[in-house]
Formats: sequence, C-alpha cells, structure tokens
Amino acid sequence: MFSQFSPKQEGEEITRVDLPGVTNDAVSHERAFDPIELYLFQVEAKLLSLSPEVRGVVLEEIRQHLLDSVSARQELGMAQDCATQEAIARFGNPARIAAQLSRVWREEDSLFPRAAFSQALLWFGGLGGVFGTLTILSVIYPRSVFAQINSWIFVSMFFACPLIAGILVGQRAPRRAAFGTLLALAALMFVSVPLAWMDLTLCPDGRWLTPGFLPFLFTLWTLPGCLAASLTTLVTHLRRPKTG
Amino acid sequence: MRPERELLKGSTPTLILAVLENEPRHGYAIAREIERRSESTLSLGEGSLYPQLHALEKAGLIAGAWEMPPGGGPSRKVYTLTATGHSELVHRTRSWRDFVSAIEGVLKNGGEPDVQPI
Repeated sequence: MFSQFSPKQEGEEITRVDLPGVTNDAVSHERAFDPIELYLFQVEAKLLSLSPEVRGVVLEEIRQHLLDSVSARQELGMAQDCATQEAIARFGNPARIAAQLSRVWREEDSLFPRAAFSQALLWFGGLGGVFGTLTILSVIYPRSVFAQINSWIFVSMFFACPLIAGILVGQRAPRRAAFGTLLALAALMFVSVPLAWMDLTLCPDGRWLTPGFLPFLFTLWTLPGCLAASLTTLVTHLRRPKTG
Repeated sequence: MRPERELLKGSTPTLILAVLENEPRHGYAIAREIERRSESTLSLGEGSLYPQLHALEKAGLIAGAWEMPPGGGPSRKVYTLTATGHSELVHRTRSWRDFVSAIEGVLKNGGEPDVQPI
C-alpha cells in the first residue's frame, strides 16, 4: 500500500498514485503525495458507513498519532521518509483498523438504529402485549376475573405503555431512540393488523375494534412513545460526561 | 495467531485502563507508556489501540476530550479514567491476579512426571 509510494528525490519525476476504484481527480494533490494522508485516505475509504463527523474525529486522532510517531522517530535521528514509513507500518493495516473502528461505531452511528429498534420492539411487544390482552379480555368478558380487577387499570397501563417503553428505550439505547421506536411500532402494527382482523371475525362483540381504530391506536402510541424516547435521549445526553 | 498475541489482544483494555489510572493521556502516549512499563515486551499494533479506546469510551470506562497542548500545536484527544473505569480496573486487576495465580499453580510442577510411591 504505502510501499507503492516513492518519495520524490531531487530531479526525479513524480509518479501519481492510483487508488483502486478512485479517480485521480478525487484525490487531492496533498493526499496523493503525503504518505500519512494517503494512509488516512485508505482508512477513510473503509469508514464510509459512518457519519462524516465521526469519521473526521477518528481520522484526526489517527493523523495526530502518526505525526507524533514520526516526530519521535525523527528525534532519534531517523530521516523523515523512513520515520513516516515506519510509523505507518507500526500503525498497522488500514483496512483491518478501519474494520475494527467500523465495528465499534456502527451500532451507535449507523442510520438504522438496531439497538433502539430491538429495545423498542421488546418493550412495546412485551408491555403492550400483556396489558393489551388483559384490556381486551376484560372488555370482551365483563364477568371474568380480569374485569373484576378493574379493567381501567389495564386500559391505563396499556395507554401508558408508550411512555414507559419510550423512556426505557431512550435510557438503554439513546442513539436515535425515537427513530428506533417509530420503526418498532410500525413493525408491531404490521404484525398486529392481521391479528386484529382475526379478532374482528372471531369476536362479534368487539365491534369497537374497527379497522379505523388501528391507525388511531398507532398514532396514540407512536406520538407519546417517540416523544418519551426523544426526551429521555436528550436528558441522557445532557447528563453524560462530555467526551469530546 | 500466536497465543501471546491473543493474550495481549484480550488484555489491551485492562492495560489501557491501568496506564490511565494516574494521569490522562492521548492515544500515542498510552501506547508509549504500555511499552515503557513492560520494558518493550508488550508492543501493541498501535492502530488496534483506537478501536479499543473508542469501545472503552462508549462503555463509559474512559472519557475523551480534545485538548490544546500547553506548548501550542494541534489539539489532541486526551482520555481520562472515569469512576466506573476505576472500579472496572480494580475488578480486572483482581481477576487477572487470580487467573495468573491459578495458571502458576498448574504450571508449578509442569514437565515433572508424577512419581507414584512404590
């Protein structure tokens, strides 16, 4: 990789470095001829799944490390070219390091917030499933043990689910918690629509459970859930120590 | 991969926490300090240090902040051990000592054949 780079000697013609899949125009003059910049370019090329902010911070940190490493070698009497090549070699394979960095940052920084989505699915599915089932049972079977407990408790808990679940998602998976919550709710609604239609067919008494009720329920759940997740994320972010 | 390398890779987070115990350092200084304390026996792949640092930072065990060096020059990301990181270091140090002691117990008579009394 960096061995392709030949430092310019006095009177020697400069050879352009061709990077695979990248047009020469895309590589700035500085990047094409500075081994450190070329190395950083190779790392950056494998970090494209991360946001530009994170990428910038990571690359700046590596740049400073390499510059420190080169300076330390120069202080020991090494020539700049040799010091640079040794510092880069010591830092390691750019593709492997980029893959390791990518693994660390992917979950938090990726567009699809898997952690938030999984948490939201778990909490909404769990809490909503339990209290939703109890509510339906207490309404459909008014003389059952569920109705005797007081169906309003179940109803209240059912509608409080988004708030509880949103707060839990925001605390445990704060990155893009609201988006994860929204996706999880959409997924749950996608699954629950056929079940609700089965309810309509099987339970003639449940006339209130009309198809129009589902979008209403979705909105009623989504808005407080996303709001709670966003607010918790904000509070979590404000209370977290600054990490630069 | 050689077993020594595997062992070092698994121990790197503990080494990072240990060198940050007394004072905050940036990535390059952490690598040098590990090398110095181990008398150059432990030589990290320096690039592999950063994924570990970022993972520890995400876990809340260390906190990073960009700081300008007192003598001027470009800013560097300096890492500090958090309170959680300190507790984790204590726990990891204890676990490591127990592990080493157990391994030494097994190796103590290594290579010597068991002599059965006649």
